Amino acid sequence: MKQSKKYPIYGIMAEFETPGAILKAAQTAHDAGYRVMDAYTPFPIEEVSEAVGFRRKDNRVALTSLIGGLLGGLGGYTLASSAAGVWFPLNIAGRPFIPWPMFIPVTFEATVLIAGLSAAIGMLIMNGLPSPYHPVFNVPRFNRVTTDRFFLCIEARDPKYDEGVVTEFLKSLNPTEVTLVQG
Amino acid sequence: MSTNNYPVPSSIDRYGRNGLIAAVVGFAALIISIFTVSPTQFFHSYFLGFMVFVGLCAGSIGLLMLQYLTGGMWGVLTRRIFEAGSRIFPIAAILFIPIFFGMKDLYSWTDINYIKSSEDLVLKAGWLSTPFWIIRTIIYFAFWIIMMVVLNRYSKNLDADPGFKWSRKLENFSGGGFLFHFVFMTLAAFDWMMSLTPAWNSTIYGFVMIVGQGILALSFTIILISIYAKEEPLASIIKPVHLHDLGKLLFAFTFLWGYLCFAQLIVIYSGNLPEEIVWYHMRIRGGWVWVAYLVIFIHFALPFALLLSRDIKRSVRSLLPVAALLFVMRIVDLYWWIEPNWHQEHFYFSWADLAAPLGFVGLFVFLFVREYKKRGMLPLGEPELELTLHPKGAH
Repeated sequence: MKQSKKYPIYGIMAEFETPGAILKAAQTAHDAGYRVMDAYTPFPIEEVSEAVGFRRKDNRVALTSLIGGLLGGLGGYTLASSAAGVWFPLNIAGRPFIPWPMFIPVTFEATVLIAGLSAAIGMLIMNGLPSPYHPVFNVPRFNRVTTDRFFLCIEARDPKYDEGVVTEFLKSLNPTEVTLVQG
Repeated sequence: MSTNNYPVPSSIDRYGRNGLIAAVVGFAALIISIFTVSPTQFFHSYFLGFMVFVGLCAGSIGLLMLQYLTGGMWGVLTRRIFEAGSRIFPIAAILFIPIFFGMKDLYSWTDINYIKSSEDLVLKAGWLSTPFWIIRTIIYFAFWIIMMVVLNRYSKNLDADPGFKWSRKLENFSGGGFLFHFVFMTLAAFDWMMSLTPAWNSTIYGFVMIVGQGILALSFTIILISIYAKEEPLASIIKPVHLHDLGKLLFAFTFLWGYLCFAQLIVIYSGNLPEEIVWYHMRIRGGWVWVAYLVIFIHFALPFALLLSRDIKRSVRSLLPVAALLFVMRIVDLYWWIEPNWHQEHFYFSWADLAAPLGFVGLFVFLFVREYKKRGMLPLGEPELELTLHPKGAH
């Protein structure tokens, strides 16, 4: 299974048994200067994502959704008002050709639709899903990540990465097991 | 039971005192307006102020039942505030009495000749008769006072006997109570406010009022919590996640309110029938349209846009001004719903319309502080209290 020639090894992974242990491990690793790492847990733990160095400003889904919503609302309103007011003006009970209250439902629905789609599609593009292959699954025990185990993986892309040093470092965090992850 | 019962900080007395001063100034000005403006204007302004006052009480009791039904941290944190607000209902009932004497000045349907002028009104004459109207009002207040007494007594029992026994009872009682609250508040909104324009009707009117009262009571609550978030005992409890919940709820209420107002508008705008459109017509003519824009943009669009942001919802410094803005805009909105009934041609503003809300809100704050101090800041017997004090990131 050759993924990338540049990084034949994806990283080194440590297994932990409690949320507290992984949180502490992630914090220690971040303090030790490691930056390219990820934590895998059976359920979301907000503090852990902060500990591995994920900042909210890195998350562009909200902005994508806002822009999508604004464009959707503008588009919906423009569509309705150009169709009924410009391209084919309809006189309905003497109302103005562009009776804005009548177009609010369309505007609202288009806003919600496009904002929702932008959020969903933007999220998929930005987090790289769907991902049919991911090296972390080369670790057999990693299957337990959806049940009761917590994993911290320091990746080979990290500038401070050195196989020996990182292995020793992870072992010092009292994990259940430390494994080399094939790329 | 915990030894710490989270007492209300004594610094709250300052707000009570200021409330009393505002009440005295407001009501004195209101009484002066009888002689310097007119008795009619006095009743109009008094009615406006009263609707703000009763909105705070009814919003509190509605949210009190809502938080029992939904559960969650926000309810545990705000319960004592809603309870204190609901206990002011008897005073609201007493403050209603002057309105009985002003009915001739407020309601055109009290004039039998006016009723006879229209066939539609003749059909409504049975419902809109003064004695029946007064009896109904007494029934509404009796209902709320009974609800208030039961909810507060059960809550006391929950403190004495912590656990699920009484919290289940409160949940079940709130389920039925909430339903009847909607029925009675809808009828009250029809009787008190919608009948100001007797020929006009809108079935969603009561719902809009209920949600408006929810915004009023919730923004009052958020203001209070924001003020005390920096002071013990709340300082060590309140975390951004709590404010986030309250902010989200305020956002939801604002949006629901806008949605319902628009639902009323679009039906009437589409139909464009003379007897229906008149309600909006009298509210956009002769300068009133600027108040309408104020309501649309400052009461709805601005808080909506601000509350979209997660950061604004999670910080006291930014959530407090939004809540204060909504509180003020609720009064402006009520003014726009009430006052044009008597001034259909041109925008009209009397200083008594400023004095009345000042007096009534001041009185509410004064009474609220007195009630709120009685029972600490947090419900000690509540099973969800532990989760509220130590919220987990994961669930």
